[in-house]
Amino acid sequence: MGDSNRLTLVASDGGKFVVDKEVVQMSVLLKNMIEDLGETDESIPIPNVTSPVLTKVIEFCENHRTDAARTDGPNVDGDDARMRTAVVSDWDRQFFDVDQDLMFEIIVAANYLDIKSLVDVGCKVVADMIKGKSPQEIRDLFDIVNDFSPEEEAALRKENEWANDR
Amino acid sequence: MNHLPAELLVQILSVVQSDKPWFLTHLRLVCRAWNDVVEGSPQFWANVVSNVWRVPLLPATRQETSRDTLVVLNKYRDALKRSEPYLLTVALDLTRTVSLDKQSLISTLAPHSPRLVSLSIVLSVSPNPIFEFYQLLERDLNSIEDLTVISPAIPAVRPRNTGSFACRRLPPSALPRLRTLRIAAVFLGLSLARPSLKHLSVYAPSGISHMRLDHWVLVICVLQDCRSLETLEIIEALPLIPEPYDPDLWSNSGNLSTLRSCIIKDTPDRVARFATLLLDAPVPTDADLNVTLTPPASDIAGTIMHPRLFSLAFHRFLPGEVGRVEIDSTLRVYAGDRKRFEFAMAPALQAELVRGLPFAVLVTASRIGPDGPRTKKADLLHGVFSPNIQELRIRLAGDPPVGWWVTLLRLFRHLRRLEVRLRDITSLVEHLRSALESKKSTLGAVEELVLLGVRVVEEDQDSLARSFVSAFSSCKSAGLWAPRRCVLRYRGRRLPVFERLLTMGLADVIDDLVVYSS
Repeated sequence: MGDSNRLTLVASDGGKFVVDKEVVQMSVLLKNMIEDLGETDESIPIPNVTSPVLTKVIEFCENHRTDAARTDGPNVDGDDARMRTAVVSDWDRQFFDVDQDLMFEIIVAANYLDIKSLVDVGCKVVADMIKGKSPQEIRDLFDIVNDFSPEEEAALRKENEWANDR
Repeated sequence: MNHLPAELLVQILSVVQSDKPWFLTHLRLVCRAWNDVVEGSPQFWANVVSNVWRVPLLPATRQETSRDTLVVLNKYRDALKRSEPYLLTVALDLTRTVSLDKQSLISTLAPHSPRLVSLSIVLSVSPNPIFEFYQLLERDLNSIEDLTVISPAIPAVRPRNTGSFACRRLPPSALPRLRTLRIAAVFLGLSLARPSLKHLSVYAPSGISHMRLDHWVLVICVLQDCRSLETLEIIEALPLIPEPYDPDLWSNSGNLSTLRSCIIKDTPDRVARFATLLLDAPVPTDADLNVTLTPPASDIAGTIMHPRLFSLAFHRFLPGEVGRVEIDSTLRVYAGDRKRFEFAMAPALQAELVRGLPFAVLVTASRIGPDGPRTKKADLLHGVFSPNIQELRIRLAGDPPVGWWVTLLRLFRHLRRLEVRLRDITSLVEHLRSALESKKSTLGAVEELVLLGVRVVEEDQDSLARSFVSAFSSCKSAGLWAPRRCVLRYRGRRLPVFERLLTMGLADVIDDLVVYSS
């Protein structure tokens, strides 16, 4: 008989992670699954998330487990007409100090697992990387292909001309 | 980044910040996916609006400036429209307002007022934006919860000259959800005092500390209208004129009954006056008060010793409750283990405290007479110190002056534990000797005496120990006083001779004696 306060998550590559239920429940997706399953020793597969990404997601949840009980503030009150914002701590910044592929995989995994605080913090970290950069600098930073035709780009630039230097 | 789901790209681009919010539209030039977000996401535009908008500062002719202002206003209007139906967090800096026939950032924002949940606004030196701001407040701001107003202090907007600002009232139904108000402005208009307000912070306008509200009446009126107030913070913004304070101004005895935390920072005279005001409100006994005194321009001793301030501190004890007072760089008053009041002193005031006499006046003045906290005159030095303070911890920066122990112990007659951090215990020995001469001890109730940080010079250890033993033994023999427990922690390396002389000499005097080196 396993520990009823812990459960096993299985990553897409077969990696197994034994985690406290309290930590896992930061994910709305997993929380709902646990409630549906009831008391069980079965492990839960996470088919879209690889072991390295799941390791990071669990690390974040364990660090923020005490935040989980918070239900105040606009982020979690379910009011879709409100802006969602996040305060990024030093720990969070260090957490996201990884290569870009992994950073985006974490954000996508958090979105899939419905871990709002991780999505919010991840998006804010990326937004801060964008801050103050020109379109070309942003393309270079994230390796984004400019898929506008020269004519389209020229037209957009002309439309946006008013904003320059103001 | 290229494979992000659309909703994540929207969320990322909707939290990018810029000190030129209109510049965020450049993000559409990155690629088609980003252009789609900019074109079609109200969330993105709600973020554009939430960045601080201001009129751009350009080295141009007046005509060009006006044209540019118009362009920015049009873009602001467009951004607000595109952000629908999102609720709005808005920040406006109007310090560089350019006059454009009835067109301004505020007037552009006004039609969207029902969506405002938070507004942070820096008003300009010109009166126009202030009028516009009040007009905005009179609109249907039914969602606004958080309001921050910063105004540069200029004579033109002082209440004395423009009474309509300070005394203007809004209909009772206005701003029904306003919970938090931060204001750094000389006018604390009645219109901003709402029954729903839970958190009120008032700061002096930056860098211009002499620009304050003129009248206490206004402060009271505002506070009376904030019936749900939980936290109150007033930083160097208490009124200017020391007009007579009339406690009957409080028309409703339930005022401030929900206050949990109060932080005040100002000069001693103003704090003292405000403390009186709080006492008459009254503030709940379990609310945390944190008072910081800033050095006044002159006459420190004359202003700090306002009796009412300290009557506030001590009046907060419930009858019979065990209390503790700590005095070092701050004065803290505890009821049980719970901190109730903290009083931080500026260094200049701390220097006064150590001199002794002001300290005596300070504590003595805290006496509350039989007719309650409104006693006009403190009965210096001979009054009964009514609050049941049983523990006192003091940290002295210098050696206590002559008469210090007498003064101190007359005041705290109910002490059971006394902890003093001091360098020289000679003054205590002298005090015990004089008690013997007068056959009257003021240490009668003290059961535990803790002396910390005591300096013992090796050459003098013998004489110091003998005089200490002699004073305590004589006091006990005379039936005056001896503590059950005494701790003496001295500085520097261990002195076995000193320790042995004390423990042997006081073995029959003090039940539990602990002497050790730090």
